[in-house]
Amino acid sequence: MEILSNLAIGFGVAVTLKNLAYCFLGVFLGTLIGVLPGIGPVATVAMLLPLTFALDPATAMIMLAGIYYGAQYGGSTTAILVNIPGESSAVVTTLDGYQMARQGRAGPALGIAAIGSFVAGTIATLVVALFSPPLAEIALKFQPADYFSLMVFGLIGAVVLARGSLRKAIAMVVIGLLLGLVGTDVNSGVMRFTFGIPALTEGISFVALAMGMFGIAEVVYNLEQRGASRQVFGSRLGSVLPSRADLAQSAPAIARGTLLGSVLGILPGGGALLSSFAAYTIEKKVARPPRNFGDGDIRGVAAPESANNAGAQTSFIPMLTLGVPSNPTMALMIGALMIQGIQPGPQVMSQRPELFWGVVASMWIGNLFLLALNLPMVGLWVRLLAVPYRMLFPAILVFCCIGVFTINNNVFDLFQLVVFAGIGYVLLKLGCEPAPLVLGLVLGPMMEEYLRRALLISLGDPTVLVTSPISAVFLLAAVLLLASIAIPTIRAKREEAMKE
Amino acid sequence: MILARDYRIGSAARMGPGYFPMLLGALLALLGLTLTVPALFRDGPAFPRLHLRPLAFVLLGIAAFGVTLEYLGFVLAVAALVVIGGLADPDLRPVEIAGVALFMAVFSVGVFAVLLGMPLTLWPAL
Repeated sequence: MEILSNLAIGFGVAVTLKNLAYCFLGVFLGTLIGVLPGIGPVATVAMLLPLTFALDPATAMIMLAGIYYGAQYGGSTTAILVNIPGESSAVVTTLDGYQMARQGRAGPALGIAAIGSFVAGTIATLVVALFSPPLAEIALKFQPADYFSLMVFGLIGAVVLARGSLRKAIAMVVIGLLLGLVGTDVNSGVMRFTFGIPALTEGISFVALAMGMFGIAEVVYNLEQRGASRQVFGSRLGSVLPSRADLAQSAPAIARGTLLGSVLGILPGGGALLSSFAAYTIEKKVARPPRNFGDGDIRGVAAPESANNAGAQTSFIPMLTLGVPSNPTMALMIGALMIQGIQPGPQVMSQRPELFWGVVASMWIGNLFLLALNLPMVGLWVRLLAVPYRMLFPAILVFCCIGVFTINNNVFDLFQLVVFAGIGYVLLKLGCEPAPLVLGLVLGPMMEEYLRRALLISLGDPTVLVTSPISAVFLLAAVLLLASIAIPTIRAKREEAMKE
Repeated sequence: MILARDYRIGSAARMGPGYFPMLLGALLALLGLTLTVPALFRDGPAFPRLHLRPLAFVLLGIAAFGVTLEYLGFVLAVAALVVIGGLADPDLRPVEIAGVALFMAVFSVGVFAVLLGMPLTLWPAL
């Protein structure tokens, strides 16, 4: 079994004292920041990114992955205890989780979220290990035209699955792509859209952009949501261990959530958010007896929590094998790899097996840490949540600023942060999702490069995009995806699903 | 409801490096039109109210952090960010903010400069 030897390499890398320590640190810091209301995984990863610069690539990725699912889990804690989703994928967890907390069952709710996440994480790690190698092998055959079309497909997928207006989402992608082109043109060395500012020749700082739109804009948004009651249920936490009856009831929900999350996580634009929404909706339909969803049903916590963790895990697959991010967090990961001097893509697995399999193995270890960390340490998170927001948000601002500054040690990045935070806030108010924009920003330069190469090889003949079979399939899939939205019934379904 | 988002980024094309941007610029202009033109003919909800106080102070705080960092060092920059950013909250409590500023300054120096050894200028150069 090749997979076993591969996993052995992976564990060999992951189970060194150094990597274990950084994995633990990542999970811990991720949870710590993720618990803060209004700070989701994207902002958390962006904030903590500079901590990993000094590390070697494998350790850096292991730590970042730890931060990612730590933040994911931290968001659920906030959702259950304060009824404020720490991040968008925890929105559905507030429905039943907060009700459980009000009934004095916050402990079991947190416990089942941790256990469900662990089970889901374990299975999803196996999925990653099983499906990545064949996918990378196919990807090695990709021509530039195929890559271009794959990215078109990925962006369309992200748009279709984004909430809100479709045209707005497409506009966001295009703006993102254009912003990605700011800087020195790789082929000709011409400065584009830099307005003569030397700092912009390197392009727009994507960390400043992501932090501005996901971190600062959210802080401002939270500040105006004053008066919303925030009652922390910490005093009646009780035992975090769910009872046997709870476990028996949750087991099928966890299984369904894991399955759904693993599949949806691979899709572009999928990942944790869509997984958790879909899992909750399905659970409400299939769970027997259906009883009290929205009224503190433990399955309403177990299913989405398992799904979002599984989705978070499998969303690494396209990033690691194709070098194409499926959500903003993965876009940040790609950025981190590039800073480390590694061009993400199918060649990573063959050229740097220790990096790839080390990250995969560390995912499982990270989930173990998550379980070990969260069951005993819930009390600490609860106390952190008791700190009023008016004292928390300046601290969040400080971390965001330090994070952005230390990436290039450049004050100009902070001014970029100001600009993008302002834009992000207005976009938030207009109902434009920032996620497609961030994906566009990262993919912009890559798409241009692949399109150029494709057209160079074909001597300027654009039909190469449809005559290459792989490329044609991706483009066709993209068109179908777009067309499916145009059909009224599916459109209504999509709107209904997004509303839940 | 929808702002004219088109034309914000000009499609200034140079041959070669301008090819892809022009393509995108055209696409964006088209999208902008499909968003704005129907919007002119329908009554939508008013433009959402922007709360300017939090936004202004938060952004000002970050800008102040940048400027202070360059000239006065890290410690004062953190303090400036916390105090100015803190003004964003309408029910500001001066003592608390001072406490947070002090705590964050000590904490950030401890974590980023001492523990992580980041090359930060801590104090103003005298």
